This record gives sequence, structure tokens and C-alpha cells, in this order.
Amino acid sequence: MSARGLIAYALKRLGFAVLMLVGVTIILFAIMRVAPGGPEAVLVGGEFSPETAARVRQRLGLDRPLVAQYAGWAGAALRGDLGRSFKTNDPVATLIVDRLGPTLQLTAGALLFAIAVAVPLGVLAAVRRGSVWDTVGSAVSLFGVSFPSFWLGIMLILLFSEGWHLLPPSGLSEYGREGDVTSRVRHAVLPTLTLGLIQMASFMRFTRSSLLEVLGQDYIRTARAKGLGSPRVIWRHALRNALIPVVTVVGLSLPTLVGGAVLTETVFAWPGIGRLAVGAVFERDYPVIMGVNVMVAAVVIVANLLTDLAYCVIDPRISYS
Amino acid sequence: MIGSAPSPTSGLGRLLRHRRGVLGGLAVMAMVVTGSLAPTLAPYSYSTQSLLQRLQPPSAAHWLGTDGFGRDVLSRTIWGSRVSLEIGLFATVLSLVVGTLVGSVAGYLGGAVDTTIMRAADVFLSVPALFLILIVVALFGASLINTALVIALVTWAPVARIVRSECLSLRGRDFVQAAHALGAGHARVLGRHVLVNALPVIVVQTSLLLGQTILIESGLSYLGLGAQPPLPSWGNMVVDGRQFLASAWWIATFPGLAIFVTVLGFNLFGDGLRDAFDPALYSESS
Repeated sequence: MSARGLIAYALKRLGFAVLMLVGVTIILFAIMRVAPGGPEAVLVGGEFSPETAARVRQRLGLDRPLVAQYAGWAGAALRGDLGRSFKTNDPVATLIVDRLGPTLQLTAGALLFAIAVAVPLGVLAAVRRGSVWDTVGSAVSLFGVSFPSFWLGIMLILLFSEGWHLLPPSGLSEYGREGDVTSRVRHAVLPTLTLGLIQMASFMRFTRSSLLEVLGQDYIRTARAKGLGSPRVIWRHALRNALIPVVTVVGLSLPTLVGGAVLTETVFAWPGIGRLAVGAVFERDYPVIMGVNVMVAAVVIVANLLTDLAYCVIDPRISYS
Repeated sequence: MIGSAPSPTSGLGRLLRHRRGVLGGLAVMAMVVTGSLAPTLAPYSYSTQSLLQRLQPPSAAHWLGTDGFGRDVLSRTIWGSRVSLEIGLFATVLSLVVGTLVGSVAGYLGGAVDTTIMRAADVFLSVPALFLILIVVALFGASLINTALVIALVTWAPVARIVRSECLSLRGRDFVQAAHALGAGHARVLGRHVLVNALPVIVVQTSLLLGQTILIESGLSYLGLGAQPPLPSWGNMVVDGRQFLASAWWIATFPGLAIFVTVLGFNLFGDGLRDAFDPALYSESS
């Protein structure tokens, strides 16, 4: 694809991404306001009169017409102001930024771990089709999609923390040792493993099937017929082409990765975005729910866009014009 | 017949020879029977508490031990299968109906209808499912219907995609053209000719989807948004066990194992179905 074509395509997709994001905010806003009950019950607590409820709703701006509320929120959000938490009155943006680091660390670590294990295993399974490696590979991918992630996490805690006392069961680091790298790495091992193991399954399955497909192509036969050795054919000719669809799968896996982080963070008391979201939902902290979801949706949409663009840069045959 | 689906008898034969598929089918069947016969099979009540029997390890009296309230873990695991299977089944049916309907219309009609529908599916695919489910269930309440509805809301899009691509390839086939030439309307061609031939793909999706919906339900239960106590669900039993992990490993272990075996069963069975009924795969592996 020419550079101009690529830019035109990128702009078109960007426009669509913005529309999608607006769609997500409208759906979320509607869901929250249509739901029965409101934040006043959580904020006031116990018994309260209708007058008190009305006063609280007025203070939070919930008595205004829905469209006005949405317009107010969207206008402020465009200026970078995501509002303040109903519960703590902290700016939502600050709450999110504070928890972004741990979530990024967890998800990036899990993604890297999953790719590092899944791709070689997928390659081995495809190249040695029907061998022990193939069996191990299919077992790993099957188990990976069948494990409830929260239970896998708890079982890892049971073994490595409660049983063998090798690794800490929860938190980001020991209290007072937040800057200690060793402590942070030790705390990160189990959550990263939990999230990564679940992600690994689809990557490995995809690498295997994609490589198998490529290995059956004519140009691979040609390369072999030229007398090239097996490792060279696989690394130089097959793998480069086989990994293109794998890039897409990694990109598309982001929603599940982030969703999985919610459960993993809950199991390991990991102070990230997922736990912030769970807490906000239970407390009906509308601005925090909106902020977190818009941020997550934006990240996922942008990542999908980048994956698509990477796809046409890597593979010159693809044209979206 | 031109472009016909493989005959079901040969598919069934292949399924029965598919060892892992049969194994998965047996696991699924065992769970369904257990859930249906819970009142008869469970040795104790799922809710009767006994402080004297607290945190008993597995023994002859309590095969899977007792929990923090002295309740029998085996009986609760047996009853828990009901919640998981009911919600899983309900959500899967909903998701399949919507996904198949939307996907087949998009694939069969093509053009602007296809583009619009698939863009809408993209929106649902790009929002992290668990976030959306979490919000809806927390705000609207965790009833069986709400939970199943919202799980279906986030799982229909992948089904629609698969059914769409199947219908897209079927609509150009000779027998579909022939039906058109004979004067059949869109609804008839889609219902009688295209969808019937897309059935193998839909059946495979059903099994895989059941596994997925059960996993989502257990995750919600784990977050406290599933069946409400004292009614046991596998997810909330694992939460109960979390606090006793150091002293009573069995409370969290067995219900989790039940989820794992059930989901694995559905996945294995789904793989078996696919290998047995997908003509492309069948000819490749034979």
C-alpha cells in the first residue's frame, strides 16, 4: 500500500474509532442512568428521607435532564476533565493515573510471558506435528481456555505461597518497601503467571495453525527443493509469514486481557484499574465508572487500529483502499 | 446433491470414534446429570450449618470436606452445578439465536446491511466484556435472567462473525442459486438452504460457547455478582474458600475443579464435533 493510501486508510479508521468511542460513552451513560437506584443510597447509608436523597442528587447534578448531564460530562471530558469521584471527591483522572502503572505492568508482563512461551511452543507443535510437543501444545491450549483465571490464581497462591512459602500471595510490594525492585518482582510473579497462562492458549493455537498453513504452501516446497535446510526454511521463509496473523490475534486479545486483569487484580489484591472499576461499580460512583471504561475502551480501540495498520505495513499484499 | 453437507450418520460415527470428543461429552453429561439430580445425589443440605463440623478435611462422612460454616462441600458443589449450567445454557441459547440471526442476514444479504451489522459487532468486540457485564449486573441486580442476558450481549458478536462468513461462502453455491432460480424467496432460501448447511458450524459454536458462558458466570460469582448466598454457585464457593486457603485448601479447590472439568468437557466435545462435522477438517485429517 502506498504511503498516501495508508494515511487515508488510517484517517478513515481513526474517524471510525472516534465514533465508536462516542458510542461506548452513550451506551454506558444510558445504562447507568436507566438502572434502578442511585449513588445516594451508598453515599448517605442507612435510612434516609426522600428530601435527603433529592438534596444529594441535586448536589451531584443528577437532577438535571439526561441530555444535559451527558453534554456536561462529554464537554468536560473533551477538555481532559473526567469529573470527581462521588465518594472521595478526588479527580477521576488522578485516580486512574495512580492505578494505571500497576495494571500496565501486569498486562504487559502477562502479554510478554504469553508470547514468549506460546510462539516457540506453537512453532514446535507445528514443525513436529503429531510429536510429544504437539500433544503438550494442544494440552496447554485446551487447559488455558478451560481454567477459570481466578481459580488458577488461587491454586498458584495455595502452592507457591501457602504451601512452599516461595512467593508473596498479594499486593504490589511489602509495606514500606515500595521502591524495592526485588520485592516488586516477587509480588508480580504469580499475578503475571495467572493472566499470562490464560492468554497463552489462543496465541499458541494460532501460531501452530498459521505455521501449518504456511508450511503447506508452494514456496516452502520450492525452498526445500532448492536444498535449503529445515531450520533455514522455517525461520527465513515460513515463520515470518506465519507470524502476521498472530500479530492480529495478539491485538484482538486486548479486551480479554484487560477483562482478565479485573479478576486477577481482585484475587491478588493488586491495586490496578480493575479493582478501581469493581469498587466503583459497587459504590455506584458514576464518574469513576465512566472514566475507567472510556479509558479502557480508548486503549483497546487504539490498539486495534495500530494492529490493523501494523498489518498492512508488515504484509505488502494487504490493501484496504 | 450439489454442495450438500456431510451426512449426519457419518459425522456421528466420526464423533464416536473421536476419543477426546467422547471424553468431553461424558464429562458434560456427568455434570448435567449431577445438576438435574442434585436433590437426590447431594448427601447433605447445601445450607445447613454446623459449627461443630467447621473446616473438616475430606473424610468418609464428608468426601470433599466442610466449609467455614460446617456445610458439606460435596453437596454444595453438586447444587452449584445447577446455577452454572442454567445460566450457561440460557445465555448460550440467547447468544446463538441473536448471533445466528444477525450473522446469517449479514452474510446472506451482504452490501450495506453486512457492513452496518459487522461494524456494530466490532463495537461489542472492542469493549472488554467483563467490564460491561460487571456494570450491568451490578446496577440492575444479579438475577438469572439479567446475568444470562448480559452474557449474551457480549458473546453474540463472535457467533455472528462465524455464521456470517459461513453464509457468505454458502450463498454463492450452486444449490442456493438453484433455489433462487426455482423462485424461492429470501426467507426460504436462508432458512431452508443456507442455515441448514451452516448448522455444523453453529453446533460446534454451541459447545464452545457453553464453556465460555460458564467461565464468565463463575467470574461474576467470584466478584460477588452471581447467585446470592446461601444458594451455592461454584464461583462464590471459591471466594468463600479464599480466606481459609492456609487451613482448609479443599473449600476453594473442588468447586474450581468442577468449573474446570465442565468447561474442559464442553471444549473437548466442541473440538470433537468440529473434527467430525467440518468437511474441510475431516478430509485434511483423513
